[in-house]
Amino acid sequence: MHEFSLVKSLLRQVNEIAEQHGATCVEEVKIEIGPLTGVEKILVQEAFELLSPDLPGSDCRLTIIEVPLQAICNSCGKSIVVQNFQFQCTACGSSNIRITSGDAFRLLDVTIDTELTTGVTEP
Amino acid sequence: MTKTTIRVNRDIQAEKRERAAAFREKLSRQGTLVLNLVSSPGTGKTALLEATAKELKGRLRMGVLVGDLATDRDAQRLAPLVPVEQLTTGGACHLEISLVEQGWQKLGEPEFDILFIENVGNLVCPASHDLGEHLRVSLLSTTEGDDKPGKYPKMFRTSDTLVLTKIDLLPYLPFRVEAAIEDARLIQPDLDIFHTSAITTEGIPDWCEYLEQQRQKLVASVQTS
Ligand SMILES: Nc1nc2c(ncn2[C@@H]2O[C@H](COP(=O)(O)OP(=O)(O)OP(=O)(O)O)[C@@H](O)[C@H]2O)c(=O)[nH]1
Ligand SMILES: [Mg+2]
Ligand SMILES: [Zn+2]
Repeated sequence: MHEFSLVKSLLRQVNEIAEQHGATCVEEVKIEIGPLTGVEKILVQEAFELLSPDLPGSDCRLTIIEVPLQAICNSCGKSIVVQNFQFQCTACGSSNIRITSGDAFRLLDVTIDTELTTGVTEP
Repeated sequence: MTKTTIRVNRDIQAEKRERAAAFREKLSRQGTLVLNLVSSPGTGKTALLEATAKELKGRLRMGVLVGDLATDRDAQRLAPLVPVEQLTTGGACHLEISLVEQGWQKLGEPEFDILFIENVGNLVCPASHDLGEHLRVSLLSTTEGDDKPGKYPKMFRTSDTLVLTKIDLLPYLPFRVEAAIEDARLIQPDLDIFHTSAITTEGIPDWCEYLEQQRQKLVASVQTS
């Protein structure tokens, strides 16, 4: 249910981008999720397969990049990876840490086909 | 035909987050502390609000927005005590900022000291949605078991406060208070923790004193900025 509404929102944003750039087809959507995003990869994929036929073109590919839960320690300044949801600095033991990745659902890239040349052209 | 890759790199909930931040900012300026109450179904969110309304009567002006899938039963329970607006989600498992904004308008945007938002009973999805609250309050009842914080890390990680409810039942249950607190603090060390019973009202005065302090803190921070 939750994945479904997130993917709906994702596709709305992809559609806006496609429209702005005059896309005739959306080839690929690349997203980032992590352990604290609160979504299940398989369910995101399923929701995308169900909803993506609404995008311009026919079969759009979803690429999901899974990132670890990363943080910066506010006490010692080290970058750490948070394992098993133990929110503690692995270097100094401080629990004063700030999450830097792995807690969001990010839209990274949208690859489209256009009739006109706009933006960066891939070789 | 030209192939183009457009770099976006944006949180897909960015727009909702901004709306929530704007709501928080607006209510800060008028001195209204906003709390988002989250827990499993039946933990005692409405019961805590009933007890809180009785305790805070004549001390703080409070209002409630209460989310539910289908009925307005919680709003009916609270209506004799406080201004309340039911947000019926029509099956959605969590509240979103748009529903909160609507409910707030329906209430007539009054100048409360505290606005409570009772979320839909669910320990998963509400964790991902900022409702414009100043404090997120997780409730955990003694009947749910002391192992829950670690099982729902996102909810407890994103909370500011933990209220252990139904402590009147402790003599009958294998619930270990210390174990639950230790588990929760591993995930969120800064949690402010309260032990309450809506039946005996044990712990309710401490909880209400905390609410008054938090509200004063908000008012002071708005005045200095
Ligand atoms: N013994 C005891 N029972 C309680 C306490 N608080 C709530 N209850 C009971 O627990 C049940 C659920 O309480 P509610 O206040 O409806 O719980 P809720 O979290 O609002 O439930 P939903 O809105 O459906 O998610 C009711 O039967 C309450 O009487 C408490 O402190 N002690
Ligand atoms: Mg309720
Ligand atoms: Zn450190």
